Amino acid sequence: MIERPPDDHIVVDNLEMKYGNNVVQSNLNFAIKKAEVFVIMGDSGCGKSTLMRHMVGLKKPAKGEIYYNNQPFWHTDIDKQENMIRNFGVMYQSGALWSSMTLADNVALALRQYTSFNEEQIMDAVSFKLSLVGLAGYENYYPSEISGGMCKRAGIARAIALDPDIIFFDEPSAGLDPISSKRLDDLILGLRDGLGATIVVVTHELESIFSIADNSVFLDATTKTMIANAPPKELLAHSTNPKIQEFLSRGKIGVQPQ
Amino acid sequence: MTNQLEGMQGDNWQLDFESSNDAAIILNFAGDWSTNNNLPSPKVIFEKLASTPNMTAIGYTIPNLTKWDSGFLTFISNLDKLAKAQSIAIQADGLSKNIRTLLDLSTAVPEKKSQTEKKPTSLLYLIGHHTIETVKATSSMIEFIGALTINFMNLLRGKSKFLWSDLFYFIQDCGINALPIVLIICFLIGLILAFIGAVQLQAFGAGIYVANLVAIGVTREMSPLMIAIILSGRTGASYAAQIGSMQANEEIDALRTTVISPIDFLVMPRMIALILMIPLLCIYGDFIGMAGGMMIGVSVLHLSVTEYIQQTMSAITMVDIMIGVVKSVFFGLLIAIAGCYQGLHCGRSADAVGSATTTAVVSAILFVIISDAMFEIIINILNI
Repeated sequence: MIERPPDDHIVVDNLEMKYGNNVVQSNLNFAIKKAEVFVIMGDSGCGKSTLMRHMVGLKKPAKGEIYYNNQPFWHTDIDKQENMIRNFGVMYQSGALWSSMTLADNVALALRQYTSFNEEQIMDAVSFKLSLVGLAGYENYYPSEISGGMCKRAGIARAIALDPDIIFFDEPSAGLDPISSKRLDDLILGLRDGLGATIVVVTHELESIFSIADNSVFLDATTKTMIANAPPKELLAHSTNPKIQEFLSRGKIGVQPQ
Repeated sequence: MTNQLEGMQGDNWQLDFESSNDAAIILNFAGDWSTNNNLPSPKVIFEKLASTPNMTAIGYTIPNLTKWDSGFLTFISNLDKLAKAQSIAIQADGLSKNIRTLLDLSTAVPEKKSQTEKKPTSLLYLIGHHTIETVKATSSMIEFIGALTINFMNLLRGKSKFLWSDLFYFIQDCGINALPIVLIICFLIGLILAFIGAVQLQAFGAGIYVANLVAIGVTREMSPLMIAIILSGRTGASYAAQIGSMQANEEIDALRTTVISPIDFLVMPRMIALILMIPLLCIYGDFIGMAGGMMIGVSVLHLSVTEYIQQTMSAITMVDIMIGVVKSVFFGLLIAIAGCYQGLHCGRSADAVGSATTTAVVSAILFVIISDAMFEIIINILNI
């Protein structure tokens, strides 16, 4: 691996992702700086969520490596890998709340597991995290008793329970109403600016992309590799690739970001 | 064009063919071209068109088309595909803008090639494929049992956290809640054994030995086996479905990225609850089975209750009961492994949860019967 600048928090190095013999993406090379909001975008089925699964340790790459703070993530022992994962917060596309637990228990589980907080401190932290996502007062509800969008927001509260260094969001605003979606964008920026967290967002919501992204990578389903790595506004202004132009302008080529 | 093609018509639709100067055939659609209107097959029409010599293009016009729906679009789309395969040009200018927009959308994204590629179906391929899959499944099962052992040892050494509240919940679920069904099944099993024995033994005037048959049969074999089968269907299936739906809903992934082992969190409480409860259910089943036998002894063979109990007590020893109990613990372990393994290796759809549940029940019953046979061989060798 080439020596990287010290503020590169995450480095994806020559990554190849496969399902069986089917190559999803290959030759992925990009770096994510500390405390930046990095967006992974691309058309449906190009492998955005799969890339996230590789980055959080759920799927082993066919080739290549991912480095966190210049430490290899996959070619290392399990204890070191688990220590790295402990610094991650992951919000899943469906929310993936543990259905047998209340929202409070969902958020509290990691706190009970990894902190020495007493129950009162845990409940205070839980209530605060739920209020950050607009779910104050929903502590004792079960996931089956709330709507899909609320489950998603509770999933975010759970992801940020331990104030992680890196937070992964898989399609966070899909299925949310515009107000919740805007709130979520504000929360992402707040987490970046307030906690200094590095944020990786898998999305194709254009409004969100332009309002939060510091940098981005564009995955292409046809060529099965990344075709751009730059801030989205820059890509819209300067990229000559018709696919990127079409994607970022929702088919209306020539539109400039606001 | 030398020969003019004859037009076609159905109940409400009509199709005429016109030749143009540039070796193209124009299809003139008229009437109602809706799906439920018994439309012609595009293949038949294309074969008809292809019989025309020197045809280079197909065109469409719709001046008298009164009604259309996706049936018409499908017809045109299939005709286009057939023409394209024969390098025949398409002239779609005669279609309305609405129709063209929808047709263009249907071809905007190229067809995924792998979808049409057929997998080889030769016997050799199937044997090889199934062998590889079986080896993979076996190694993954061994891996799971290994992980289970390590986590269990960690639990014993106090190195992993254990959810006591979950344990009590599962104890209630697989133990206490199973009492009624165990009562019915074991009572009937004792009753059936006694009936079979009564018919045979009465002929020799040895009706009293029904108590021996029922006591030994129930304690050593029938109670642990029947309870294992009940729990395979009841508890094993429920474990596979619970964990499987968590897998389908990314809940297991969420545990992994919180660095909480699904084995500690989900498998251990279920497995320990089942291992703790199944021997108790087995002893309970022993007594219920013997009570079933006694009912027949008293009502059919006219034995007294005291007589029957005395004969039963002289027939069995603690060893007989312990053989059943030890077997049942082992069966409980197998049921928990089958259920939890299938749940954790479930796919991400409702269908996958269903098949994980079925496989869990089938494999649990299979494991139980095979291990029961092995137990019998070992018991026979040891002469217990």
